[in-house]
Amino acid sequence: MKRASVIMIIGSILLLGAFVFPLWNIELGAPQYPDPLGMNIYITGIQGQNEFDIQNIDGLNHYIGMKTLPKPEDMWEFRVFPMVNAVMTLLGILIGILAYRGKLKGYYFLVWFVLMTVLSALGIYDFNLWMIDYGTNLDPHAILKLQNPDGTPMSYKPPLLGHIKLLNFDAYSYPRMGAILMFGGTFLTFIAYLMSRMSNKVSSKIATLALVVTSSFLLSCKSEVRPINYGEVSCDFCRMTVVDKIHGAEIISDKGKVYTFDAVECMVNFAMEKSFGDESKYLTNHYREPSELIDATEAFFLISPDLPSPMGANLTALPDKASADEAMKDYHGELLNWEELRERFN
Amino acid sequence: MKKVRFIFMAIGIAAMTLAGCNSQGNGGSNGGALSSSVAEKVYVAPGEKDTYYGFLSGGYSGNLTVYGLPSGRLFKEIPVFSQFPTSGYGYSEETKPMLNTSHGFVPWDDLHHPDISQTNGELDGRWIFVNGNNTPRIARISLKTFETEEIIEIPNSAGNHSSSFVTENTEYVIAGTRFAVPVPQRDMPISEYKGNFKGALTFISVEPETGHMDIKFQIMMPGFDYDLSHPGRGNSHGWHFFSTYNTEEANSLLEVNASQNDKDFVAAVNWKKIEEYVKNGGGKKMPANYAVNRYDESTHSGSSEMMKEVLVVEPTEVEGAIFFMPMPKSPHGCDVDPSGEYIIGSGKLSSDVTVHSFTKMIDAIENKKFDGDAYGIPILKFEDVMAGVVKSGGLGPLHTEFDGEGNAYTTFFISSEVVKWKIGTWEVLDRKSTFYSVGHLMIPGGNSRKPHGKYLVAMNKITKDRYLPTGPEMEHSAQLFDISGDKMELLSDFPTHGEPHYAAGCRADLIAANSQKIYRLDDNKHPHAIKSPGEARVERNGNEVHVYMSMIRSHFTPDNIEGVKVGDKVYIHVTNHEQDFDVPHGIAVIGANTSEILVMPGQTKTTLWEPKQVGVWPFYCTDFCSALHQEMQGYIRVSPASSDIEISFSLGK
Repeated sequence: MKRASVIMIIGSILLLGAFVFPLWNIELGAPQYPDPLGMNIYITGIQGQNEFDIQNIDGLNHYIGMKTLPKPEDMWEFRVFPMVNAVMTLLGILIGILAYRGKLKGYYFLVWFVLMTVLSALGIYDFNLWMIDYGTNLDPHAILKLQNPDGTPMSYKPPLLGHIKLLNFDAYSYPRMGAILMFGGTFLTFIAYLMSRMSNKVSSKIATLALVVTSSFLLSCKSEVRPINYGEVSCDFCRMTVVDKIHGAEIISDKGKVYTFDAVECMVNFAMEKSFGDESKYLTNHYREPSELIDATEAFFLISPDLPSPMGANLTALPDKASADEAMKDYHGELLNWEELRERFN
Repeated sequence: MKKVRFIFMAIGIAAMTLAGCNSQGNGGSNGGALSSSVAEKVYVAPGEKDTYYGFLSGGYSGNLTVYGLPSGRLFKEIPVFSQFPTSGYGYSEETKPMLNTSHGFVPWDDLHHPDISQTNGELDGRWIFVNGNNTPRIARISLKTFETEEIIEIPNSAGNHSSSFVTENTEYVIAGTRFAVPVPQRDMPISEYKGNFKGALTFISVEPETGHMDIKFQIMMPGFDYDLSHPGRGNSHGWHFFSTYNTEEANSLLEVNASQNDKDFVAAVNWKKIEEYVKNGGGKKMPANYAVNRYDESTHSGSSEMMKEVLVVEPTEVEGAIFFMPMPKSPHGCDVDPSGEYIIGSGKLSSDVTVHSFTKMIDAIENKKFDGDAYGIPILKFEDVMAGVVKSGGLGPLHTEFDGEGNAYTTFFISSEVVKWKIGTWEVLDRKSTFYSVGHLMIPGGNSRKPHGKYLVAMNKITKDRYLPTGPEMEHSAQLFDISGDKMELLSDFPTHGEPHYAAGCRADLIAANSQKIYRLDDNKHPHAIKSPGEARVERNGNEVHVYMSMIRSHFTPDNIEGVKVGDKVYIHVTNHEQDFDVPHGIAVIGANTSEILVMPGQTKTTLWEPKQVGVWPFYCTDFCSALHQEMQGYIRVSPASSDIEISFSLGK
């Protein structure tokens, strides 16, 4: 029971992540916008992904009659949600402490969990309502009035989760660290409830497992791999469209920004121009499995004129030493690891 | 039998000749610029970036052009010494002061020698300095904004030609005079030139943080023509070398009279010594009148200040600071190799390139091996300082650059070629013709300890080219060579704007990453800026009308103005409220006696309109800004001078 209570407390505390990290991110990219525009939705308000993004999104949206993005004072949600989150955190911690002292039973964990799940669902429902309003409640005097083929007015609602195409804009909508911590924390409280109903022995195992699973989930989410949208996105270095599913590459910066490349050589050149933090991830397609992205720092790179790459460096990634050696047999050439490759381009 | 063989041979020769004709007729030759591998070397695919920036002087255009290498694509023309209607530089109220001089507003100059700022003898990509030859000036251009930030006039100078070369840590930008003049200027017979005219060498300090330029001292040299110069580096850091011609001091028909001496001089100036002398109170302040024009990025405005004094040093005042090294035949180029050991003089009427050694020079100075003096300045013996002679086989060497691999490349104007030779052995390794009559050349990283020996740009002096004809007047032409191999390889011809005299280049990443995208509106300190459309207004002050206007896609605030009268001076201060990359707006008013102005995001600029006719006159945005750019327009109502219509303005009414 004590272990379960500790898990309950940890789970509740994770909710506080929503005060530090953005909950959600919506990004808009288009061929005429080589630097995508984006917004991070925090529990207390919306901020631009880059400094002037909000202003520039509003500037674009005024053509199609969308409202400007809400300031914190424009929406009750930005006042109420933080309070609800804080109250739920405190309540969760309180329940955890009282349970630890044996003053409460484990089913209080479940009560908290159900309450939180309902509140979260309501929150997401409300968020989606806002997006519908934002994307469809358009100014009748809009400069551009666009219609679907069937004559109905076009909706500009961003997706709740995932990617859609609006005109020639690509809109991406994904949860960010704040929401992930909230989900993770809420999930832990459910585990805490399960543990409270089991023997100490089993519960200790589950506690360890739950912590490991949650933390690895959180860590992996921190830099989630974004699949490359082949044929749609363009290389952030050379601006050519990424089509080749064997040579594409991706950087996920420590700030969570994703850069796509049509070739590893472009990624290496780009990484040298900018300086990415140590936490950044370098991913590359490889020869064995088209469109799969693997950790470039662990990969091997074959330079062979018999295997041309999109930008002329004849550079192809291979996932491991065995497949690298095999490829060497077929194509000959020169084999480099990540460090040697960077050295080569320096 | 013999006859048959002869006939076969004749047919064979004829066939070969015809085949030769045919391949020429197709305009190609094997291994030439049309072969695919060469084409690939200069082909930078759409969306890809060039690896080097090339800054080519615009000569008599007065501006600086920015090219990408190896593509030879023109990226930008940066206005410096000339009015530039494209952006309104020199026309807008903010930039007019940049072209102020002691001779008043000078809207043009002849821009010659770009040189990029350095730290520890390597290019640092902060600023590029250029000289105006005609009305002596030096300008500093920011490589963050690619805008001219400062122009300083050089007093006591004329034909500001051996300029604007920077020392190893950008301590100084150096400006030398090509035309000796009376100092101070006065009314005197021209024929009394000899001994009376002076050639000022000016040392302009550069403030490391702001880049602000300030004349530290001028050396009043004998009245020779100081043609080109280069700083020492490494061991020779602290010295500066100037080539001279007309040591005959002729004042007429110089093409004959200044070509009499078999040898002219390279003047070696130990500026460290003179700097110390000046620091300890040496030199003499003399009255002067010269302009220092500075552009402040936060106010988006230039201002001009007249300076009234300059510190002058006579060359004989500081012992052991200045020496003359004989150099054959009116030398033009005066180039220092990456190690700082060799000073290469190009006697422009000679066939040889003469190389002097810095070590030998110091040795000769220490042992006082002098061969007389000129106006008290010791002359070193030619043989004592000479390190070697490149027997080039060409004619008319002008300028030498280096690849950092121990090779030098010299242009030959008269024989129209670039010759590659080895430093130390002085042997000629390769030569390639240019099309036509090359003047100067540039290897990125050129004036530094670390040139990048990948490309060489040869800039031709004669405008005839190998393009489609365009009448008697043409642009110049440049040739790009790949110099990474043993032999130079001609890659491409590309046209250049104005007459490029010199160029500077550097690796793209040194500059590209810092290139500014917008100006921040909240940092805009222009006195007439408005930060929100709510502040837009029109005010009358006597016959001056000030319009405080904002622009954002796609309207002006205000766009209807009434109450302006004939004879008013209407100052339209426009602030661009965009904060997104690449959304400039422009404004032009009908009948304005000036150019349009182009306003970058976050910037404020002012255009002056003086209406002369009653009517309702439109203005509009000149830079395509959005799908509704055509709608970005407005009207100003102009009433008779006697009218009593009050000022009013509106938007959307």
